[in-house]
Amino acid sequence: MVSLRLILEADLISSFTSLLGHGFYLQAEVGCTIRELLCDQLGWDHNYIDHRIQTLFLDGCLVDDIDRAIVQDDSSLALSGAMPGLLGAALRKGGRYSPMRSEISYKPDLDPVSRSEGRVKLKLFNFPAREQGIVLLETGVCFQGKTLHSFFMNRGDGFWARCREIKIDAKEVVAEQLLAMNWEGREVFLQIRTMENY
Amino acid sequence: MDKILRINMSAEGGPKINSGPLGEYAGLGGRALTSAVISKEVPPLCHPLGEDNKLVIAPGLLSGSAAVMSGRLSVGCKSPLTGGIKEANAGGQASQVLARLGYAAIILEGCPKDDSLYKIAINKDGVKIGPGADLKMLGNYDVVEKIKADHGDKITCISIGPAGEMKMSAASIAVTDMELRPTRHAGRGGVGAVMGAKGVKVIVLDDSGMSMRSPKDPEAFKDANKRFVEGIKKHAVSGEGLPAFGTNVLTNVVNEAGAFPTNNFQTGQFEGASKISGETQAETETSRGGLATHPCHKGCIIQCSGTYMDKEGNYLTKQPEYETVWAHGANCGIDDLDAIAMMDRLDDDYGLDTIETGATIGVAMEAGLAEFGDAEAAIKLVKEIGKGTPLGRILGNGAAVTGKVFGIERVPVVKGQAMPAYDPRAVQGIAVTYATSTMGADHTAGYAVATNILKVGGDVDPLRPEGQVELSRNLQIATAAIDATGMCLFIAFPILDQPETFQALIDILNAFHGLSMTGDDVTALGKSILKQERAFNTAAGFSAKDDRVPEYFKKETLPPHDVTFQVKDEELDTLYNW
Repeated sequence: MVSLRLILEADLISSFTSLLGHGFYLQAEVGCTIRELLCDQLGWDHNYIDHRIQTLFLDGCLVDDIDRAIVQDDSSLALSGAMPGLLGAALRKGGRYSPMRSEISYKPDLDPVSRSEGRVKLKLFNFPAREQGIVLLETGVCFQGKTLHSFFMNRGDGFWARCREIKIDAKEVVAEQLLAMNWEGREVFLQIRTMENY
Repeated sequence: MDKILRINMSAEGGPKINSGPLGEYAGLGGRALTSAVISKEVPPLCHPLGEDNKLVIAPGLLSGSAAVMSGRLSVGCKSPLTGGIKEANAGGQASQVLARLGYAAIILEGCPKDDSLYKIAINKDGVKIGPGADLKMLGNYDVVEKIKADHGDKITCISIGPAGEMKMSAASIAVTDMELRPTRHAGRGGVGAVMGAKGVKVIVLDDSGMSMRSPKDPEAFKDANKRFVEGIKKHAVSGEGLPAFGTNVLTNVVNEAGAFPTNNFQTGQFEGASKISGETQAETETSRGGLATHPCHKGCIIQCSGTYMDKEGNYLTKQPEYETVWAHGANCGIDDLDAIAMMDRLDDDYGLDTIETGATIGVAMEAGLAEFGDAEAAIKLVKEIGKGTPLGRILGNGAAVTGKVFGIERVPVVKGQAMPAYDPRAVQGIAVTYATSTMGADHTAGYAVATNILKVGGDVDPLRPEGQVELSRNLQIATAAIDATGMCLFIAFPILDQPETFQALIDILNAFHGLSMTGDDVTALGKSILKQERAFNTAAGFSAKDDRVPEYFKKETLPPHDVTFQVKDEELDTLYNW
């Protein structure tokens, strides 16, 4: 795995919102509920989970009860704020219109699942990406190399001008060197610091 | 809004104006008015492009007042696309301005005897109709520039582009926004073709010298409006999500749900979804100097629209909506926001429904006219429509016609109208609305309003299979009622979640009009609208067999969930039982 560390001007952090929607990987204790993962392991506030995250997917299925949905090794968990439209209302966790999408709703497994160390893919959309993304990026998370490379290839000159330091595997490089890297098939551990908190 | 303006386009010697009181249409607005006129005055079996069809343009009951969010304009007719009754709805400035000029509706009747094209100008001094030959076959953007040169920039335009002049069934009617750009459209059902058949290129509105409409009880109105504003602003969807990301905030989520129709509804997930998501779009817009938060009409506080610049930072188009990003994006396998934005610009300029056009291109790709994912080819196909080539005329008449011409079975339409951006197999309750709506496949016909407040059809048991039919019924009734008020449908989210905000809306209506409406009255209004529309469609030849999704949705599984459409025909047939 490649290690990539960036130091950026603080307001560039918002440009990573779209990247977080592609999904990134975390080591975690699996066999737990979604609430246990987000609150006990990632330290998110219960109130935030209950009120701010209104649409959740576990392995592509819509979750209505985060205290019964079990995160397993290699699970994919996607989190979003409340969505507009009839569809948004139908997708909402525990919403009145959830019967409209019962065919794609998460159905809890009745068999008990034991806890173990594992890996989880987390996707953050819209507000969860903006609100929780910065802490996760400061801690460091793992992306598919191809995804990350594509993200950086789409950054303009203005981004790189405000990127103060780039280190790959602890060695300082310039933007051109970063963009020339071939990360196909590899994973990259990305950690970001902003100028205000470095 | 105490008068209706009728213009007879067939009259000897040229179009004839008749302005009179509302009569039997008193107390109606928006969709309530358009559907009442169409169902009473248009023979259901008439040809949609013929002289017996009418085009009704109506602001809502609250348009032109200080009520926030009240700027939606309804356009009604017999649809050339579906053959049934149609109400298409647009934002922009026209509803507010037309209402302040005192008109509850403009009704275009008859057809010119030749191919003359007209321009209609309405201000506080009256109505003038003049020749519009100098505007012939101009795109909507050029039309507006020419009108500005003649009339100044304190005007609003309702116009058609070349697609409407060529009477294509996917033709829209454009309404200018606050920047006087023709970016808001009454898109669905070919309403632009009917305006073209009536020989009207543009209606220019100027409310200079007119005042805002006054409520009957100003204090109660002000209080209710204040509560309504508070409710809208504090809600996560209307107060935060939509202003920040626009409707395209849905792309990532619908894709994750496996409900994002991809490559002409072949699958429910698109690999390139995050490249065209609302998050990526907002970031692209702001980095290029555009806006991700922008109102489409004065009084809009949700501000879900925006402006999209090209790579050089020049204005290209308004922020493409979710439906457009899907139709020209995932449905065609395209993951390039700039290409999608270009097609949005072309649709606006030619005057085309982006949903129908994107769905049509998807069918064309399935027919082999282009590869899925080929953005350049897709842009060329849209340009064919604008040029009116033989291929363009086929495509400009929608997905059903295109599918028929090229021998494609998999055409995602109901009553001839293309499905919007939610696969019916993944979200079956929405499919019920697609199938049964009087409008054809329509995602806005069954919107989310607090059915627990309205209690239409009783409380719904989510475990019963027919629960989905009841949900759709309740939602269609409530949506029809909201469409009568001129309110943007995005007020539905705060109303759904916050009973006090729903009450504030009723209080606004009551204070403005001096009424004592309740939730039951709102329900009754919605039912009455749907009843009229249903009766018209029945007389036009529609029956239960038309309230169906295409057969292949019942047989073909949709990856990744591998689901098919399960709601039985007998259940669909109970929707209008009330």
